Amino acid sequence: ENETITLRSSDGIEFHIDARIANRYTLLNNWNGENASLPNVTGKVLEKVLEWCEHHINDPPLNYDNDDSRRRNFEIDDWDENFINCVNQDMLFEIILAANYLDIKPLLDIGCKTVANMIKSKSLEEIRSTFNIVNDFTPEEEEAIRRENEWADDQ
Amino acid sequence: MSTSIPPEIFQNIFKDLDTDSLYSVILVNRIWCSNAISILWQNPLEILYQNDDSEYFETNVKSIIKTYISCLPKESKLMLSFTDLWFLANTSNSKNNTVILETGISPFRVGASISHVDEKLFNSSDFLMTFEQVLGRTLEDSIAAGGSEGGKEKAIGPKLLAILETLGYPTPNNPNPYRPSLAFPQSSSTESCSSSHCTKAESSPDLPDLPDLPDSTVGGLSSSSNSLSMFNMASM
Repeated sequence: ENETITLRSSDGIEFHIDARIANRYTLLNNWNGENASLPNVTGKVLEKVLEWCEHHINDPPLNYDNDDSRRRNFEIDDWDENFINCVNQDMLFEIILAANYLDIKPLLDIGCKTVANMIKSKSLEEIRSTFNIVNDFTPEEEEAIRRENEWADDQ
Repeated sequence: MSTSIPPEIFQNIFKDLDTDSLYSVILVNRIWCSNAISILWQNPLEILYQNDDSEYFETNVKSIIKTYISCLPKESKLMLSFTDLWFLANTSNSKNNTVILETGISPFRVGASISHVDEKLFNSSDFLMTFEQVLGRTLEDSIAAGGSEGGKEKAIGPKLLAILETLGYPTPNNPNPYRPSLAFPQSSSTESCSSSHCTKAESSPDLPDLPDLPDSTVGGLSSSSNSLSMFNMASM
């Protein structure tokens, strides 16, 4: 029988998780206990993050000393792809923020890579509509950016 | 996208995007632009090197350099805008009083380029040292065109006078001009000869015996007189 710890989300929902999860991602340990709760993560988001953590509980420990090698050897496996594709965009960004906040780097990378893939091979207008972004440039600013970065157009 | 994303997450998202995608990203909105622009500009030349087309390379290198220059501080831009050689008389400290030398002739023409003043002075009181002569135009015509009246001594305008004075010629206004000393203290020149230059030549006999004058002449002139200022910037 494994030891468990208790995490409480910002909206007061309690999660009892395998202590080994908290040991992998040391920041989670900070919120173990009766009265401590994660100030920035809601129950809905924490549930998804912990679902991911539980699936990866037996992963070999990763070496994060070298940021570059972490990126280079990085591929999203089928389970992760399915996991991340099943959430809507708002939740995707919530998971990214939570992973960043809780210092769960592999999940952070998966989330960021997913967003990057949503950007790739899309036109400017497609990117704006995908992420529901309003263009806040003045026409002069936009013209200046196009001019200054002309070399990058159509690479 | 309603949530506000901290910069480090933007960086993480954008850092592996290809150049084409990054070009779209910087045009999305201000926040995206400010987070992606440094990634796009991490090493633009490396991206260009991947293409073998020399015409493509040249066009884009020019575009990159233009943008680099537009980011320079004002003073540096001003320096780059001087594609001319100019002369600053020792009677003036203002850059506005420089005399631009004839650098407009392309290609360089011995006897005309640099040894004359810029042709823009053709209709000024400093017309005399422009390189062009117009048939039928008399000295009086030129003096009048420059806005001066009087005898032939008016043919030498104020800027030309200032140049002459700077070079050490006495003029009615300045009978005792400052003369930059080109003579070097005997001790220092023998010192440099015995210590560095000559020993070097001995130890490496393959090297031709170069006179060690040029460097020190320039240094001596500019440090002692501080009057002759010339900039030569290659035109971009």
